[in-house]
Amino acid sequence: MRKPPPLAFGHVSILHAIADGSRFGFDIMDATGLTSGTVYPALDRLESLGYVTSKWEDPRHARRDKRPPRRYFDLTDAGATALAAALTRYKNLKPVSLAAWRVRPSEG
Amino acid sequence: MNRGSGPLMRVLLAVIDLGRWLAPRSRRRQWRRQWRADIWHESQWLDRRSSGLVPRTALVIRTAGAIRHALWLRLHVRRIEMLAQDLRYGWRSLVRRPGFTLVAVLTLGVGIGANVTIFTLVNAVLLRPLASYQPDRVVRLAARSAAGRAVTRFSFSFPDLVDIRERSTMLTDLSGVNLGTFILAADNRTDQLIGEIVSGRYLPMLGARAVSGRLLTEADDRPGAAPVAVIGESLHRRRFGAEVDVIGRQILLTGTPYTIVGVVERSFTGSFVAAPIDLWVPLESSGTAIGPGWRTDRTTRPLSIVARLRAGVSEGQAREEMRTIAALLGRDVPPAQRLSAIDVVPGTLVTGEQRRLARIFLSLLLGLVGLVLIIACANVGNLVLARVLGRRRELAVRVALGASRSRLGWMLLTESALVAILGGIVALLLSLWTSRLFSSITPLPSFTLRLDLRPDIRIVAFTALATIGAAVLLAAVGAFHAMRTDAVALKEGSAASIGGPSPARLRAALAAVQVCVSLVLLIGAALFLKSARNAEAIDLGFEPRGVLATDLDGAGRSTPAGNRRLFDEIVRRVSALPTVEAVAVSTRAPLDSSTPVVRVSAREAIAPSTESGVTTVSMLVVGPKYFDVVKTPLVAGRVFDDRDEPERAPVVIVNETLAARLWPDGDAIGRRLWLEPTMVSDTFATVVGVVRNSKYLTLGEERQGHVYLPFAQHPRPGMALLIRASDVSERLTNAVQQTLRSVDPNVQGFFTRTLAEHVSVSTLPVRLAARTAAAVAALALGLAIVGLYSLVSYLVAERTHEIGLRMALGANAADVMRLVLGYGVKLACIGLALGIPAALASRRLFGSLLYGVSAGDPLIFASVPLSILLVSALACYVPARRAMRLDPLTALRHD
Repeated sequence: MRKPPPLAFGHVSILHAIADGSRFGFDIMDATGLTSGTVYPALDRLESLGYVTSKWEDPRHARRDKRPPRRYFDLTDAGATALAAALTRYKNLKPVSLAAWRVRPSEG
Repeated sequence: MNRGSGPLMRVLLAVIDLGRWLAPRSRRRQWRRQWRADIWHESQWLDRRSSGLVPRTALVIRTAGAIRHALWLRLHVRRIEMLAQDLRYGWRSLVRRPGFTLVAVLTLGVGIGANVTIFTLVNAVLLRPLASYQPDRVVRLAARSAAGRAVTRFSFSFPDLVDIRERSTMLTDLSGVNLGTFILAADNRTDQLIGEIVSGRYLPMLGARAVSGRLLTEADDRPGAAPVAVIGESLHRRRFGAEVDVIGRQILLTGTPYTIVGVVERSFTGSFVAAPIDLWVPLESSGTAIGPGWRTDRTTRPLSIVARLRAGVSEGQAREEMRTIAALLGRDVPPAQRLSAIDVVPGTLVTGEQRRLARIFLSLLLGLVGLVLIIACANVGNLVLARVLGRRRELAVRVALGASRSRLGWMLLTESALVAILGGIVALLLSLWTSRLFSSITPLPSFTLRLDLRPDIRIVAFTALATIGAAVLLAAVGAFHAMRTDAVALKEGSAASIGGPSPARLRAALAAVQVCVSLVLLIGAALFLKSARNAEAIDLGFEPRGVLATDLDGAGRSTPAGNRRLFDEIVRRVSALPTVEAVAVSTRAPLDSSTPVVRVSAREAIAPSTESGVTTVSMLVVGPKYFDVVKTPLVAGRVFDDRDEPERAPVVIVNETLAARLWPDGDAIGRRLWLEPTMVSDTFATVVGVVRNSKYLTLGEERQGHVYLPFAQHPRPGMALLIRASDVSERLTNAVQQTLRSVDPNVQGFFTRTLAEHVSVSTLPVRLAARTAAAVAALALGLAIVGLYSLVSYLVAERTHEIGLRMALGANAADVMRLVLGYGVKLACIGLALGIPAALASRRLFGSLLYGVSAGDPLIFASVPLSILLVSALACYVPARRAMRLDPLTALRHD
C-alpha cells in the first residue's frame, strides 16, 4: 500500500483536538482556533481519508435539550496512527535560535 | 420540536435552509442536518449565557463558513470520487486509440502553436515591460502638440530634462535616453555598435542587474566625471570572450577613452524595441554624440524621458503635474522653443504612433492564426464527434446502467481536456522552435532585429488560455451529442443507422466552416503576396539602383562652419574614388520613416499652437549633387548650387505636390515660403526649384508635400552620405570607409547599404505579413483538407452497409463515386459560398498593409476558390474510390 502523504498542520491540529476530547464541529473550532470554513471541509476530507468517522448524537439525548442531534467525530485507528506520526514529526524538529528575528517568547 | 428561541437563530437556520442548494445532492441532507444542529446547539448555549454581541457576531461568521463548506463539497465530492476515475478512463481510451490521439493532439498542437508563436512576437513588441522591477510604476514622457496629436519618441532637449527634473515632485529618477552609434576600438580592432546615452539613474531605475562590476550611477553623470561605460553581456561574450574580465579595461569609443565598469545581464535590452543595444554611457561624458550643443540647445530634442512614479502617486496625478510644468516652462523660454504640452504615458517599449501601427499589424496576425485554431478545433471536434458516434453503444450502456447525463458530459470533458492539454504541451514546444523565425529578421545586412522571444509567464498563460478554450470547444461539440444519447440508442446503436440527421449535419457544418475559414486565409495571403510584389514595383520617384548609402552619425563639429568643412571635404574625397559618379549628403537616405517633418506656410508665420489649416511637410537638408545621385528630375527652376551660400538669401526647393497645394494659381518659383523655426534657423525662404514627387516617409503615402533645404545654408552634424557609382560593391564600401577615416579617424559610416536595400526596409512589414499569411494559410488549408478527408472517409466507413445495399440494387461504381464525391464537393461549395463574402468583408482589415491591390482583385477571388474546390475534390476522391471498390456482398454483411 502506498504511504499516505504527511498531513497538513491544520489537519493535525484537528485530529489532535478530537483526540483531546473535542468531538463536535464548534468545539473543534474553539480548540484549534481555525475557522468553520476550514474545519468542516477538513473533517469531511479526514473522513474520506479514513482518519475519522462521524456519527449522529443519541436522539434521546438531543431531545432532552430540545434540539436536533448533532454530528460528532471519532478518531479511527488509522487516524490515531497518523496523529502519532505527525506529532513525532513535529517533536523531532530541531530547536533553532530565533534570536536574530527578534521573536518574543509566547506564553503558552 | 421547539422551533428554537432567538430571532438570530431563526435567520441563521433560514440561511442554512437556502444554502443547502449549494451543496451537492449526495451530501445535501447530511450538510443541512449537521449545520442546523450545530447552530442550534451553539445559539442555545449563547442564550443560556445571555452573552453580548461579540459571540453572536462570531456565530454569524461561523455560519458563513457553512457556505464555504457547501461549495467545497460541491467541488470536492465530484473531484475526489470521480476525477481520478475520469482521468484514468480518459487516458486509457486515448491510449487505446493511438491514431485518433496522435492526429487530434498534433492538430491542436499546430493550431495552438501557431497562436503561441505569434503571441511570442506580440509579447516581445507590445507586452514586455520596460522595467524588470515594478514595471507598472515606470512611465514615459511624451511631448504633445496642442491638438493632442503627434506624440514623438524623442521629444525633449537636455535643458527640458533639467527643467522638468527640478520641478517635478510626483516623478522620481527622471532619466533622459537616446540611441547613439559608436565605434568601439580595442585590441586593434574596430566595431560599430549601438549604445544608449543615458542619465545616471537610468539603469538602476529600470531594474537592470550587473552580472559583473557595477551599473552606471549618478556620480558617473556629474560634470567632470571620468568617462565610463557599461557593456551588455552579449557584447562581452562576442567581442572579448565570456571568460575575460573586462572590468576596469580601457576602450576607445569613437576616439574617446572610456573605462568599462560593468557588464549588464543579457535580458536587459534598453528602452528601444528591436534595436541591438550593446553599450550604456552617461550623458555627461557622451552628450556630444547626440548633438554638439546638447547641453544648452533647446531647438533639437534628441532625448526620450523615462521616469518612475513616486510611491502613492497615480499616473493621472503625474499627468496633471506635467501639464502645469509644461505651462510654467513656457514662460522663460522663447516661443519657438516651447514644449506645447507634456503627457505621461505607460512605460512600454513601443509607444505612440509606432505602437498603434504595431498593434494593427500584430492583431491582424493574431486574427489570422486565431482562424487556424478555429479550423484545428473544428477538425478535432469532428474527430471527437466521430468517436462519440462510434462509442454510442458504450455510452448508451452507461446511461442504461444509471450514469447521469452530466456524468457523461464530465467524462467527455475530461477526455477533451486531456487531448487539449497534450496539444498545449506540443504547442509550447513547437513555438519554442517556430518563434526563432522572428529572431533572424534582418532589415539591413548589418542590422538584425533583437527581439526578446524567450518564453515567460505571459506566454505560458496565453498557451493555457488557448488550451482551455480549445478544451471547452471540443467538450461542447462532444457533449452536445452525448446529451442526446439515451437508452433507446442502445437498440439502434449499430453503424447502420447512419448517424442520425443531427450529428451528421453538425459534422458537415464543421467541415464547411473549415473550408470557409481557409478560403478567407488563402485570399488574405494571396492579397499580401500580390501587394508585396506590387510594393517592389511602386514608382519611388528616385532611382535606388546603383547608390550606396551610409550614415555618418556622431560625425560633426561644434560649429556650423566646422560641419560644412567636414562634410564638404568628405564629399570631395569620396567623389574622387574610382567608379563614383556623384556624391551628396542628406539628412536621411530617401524613403525613411524617420525623415523629419516641418510646418510650412505660403503666407505668414504660424503660431506654435495653431493646428488647423497648417501644412506639414517632410524635409531633407541635401547637398548640391543630391538630385544627380537619386535621379529625381527637376520640373522647374534650378537645383542647389554654389550661389546658395550661408550669407545669401535662404532658398528652398519644393516638390510638385507642395507647389500645387500652396500656389495652385501658377508658378512657384520666386515665391516666399515660411518654415517652422524649431527645425531651421531662418524663417522665410525663396523657392528656387520644383522637383518631381517621390516617396519620402512610407511606400504607401499619397501626395506627400516635401521641401529640400541646401546643406550649405543649414550645415548640421550627423548626415547620411549617398554615393552613385557604376560599381556598388564591397570594394567601394571599403574604399569609402578608408576615405572617411583618412578625413577624420573618428568618422565612420554606419549601416552601409545599397539604396535598394534601404528601400526594402519599408516593405518589411508587408513582406513579413505576406510570408506569415502564406504559411498560416497553407497550414489552414492543410488542416481543412485533412478534416474533409477524414469526414468523408468516416462517412464511407459508416455507410458501408448502405452503399453495399445500393450496389446490390443496381447502382454502379460511377453512381457510388458521384454519391460520395458529390457529398464532399457540396460541403466545400457551402464553405466557399460562406467564405467569399467573409473574405470581402475582412479585406478592409488588411487595407493599410496593401499596396496597389484593388478592393476585390478578381483574379484572386476567382482562382483561390477554384483551387480550393479542386483540392477538396481530390481529398474526397480517395475515400470515394474506396467506396467504389466495395464488394457489395461484404458490404451488406458489414455491421
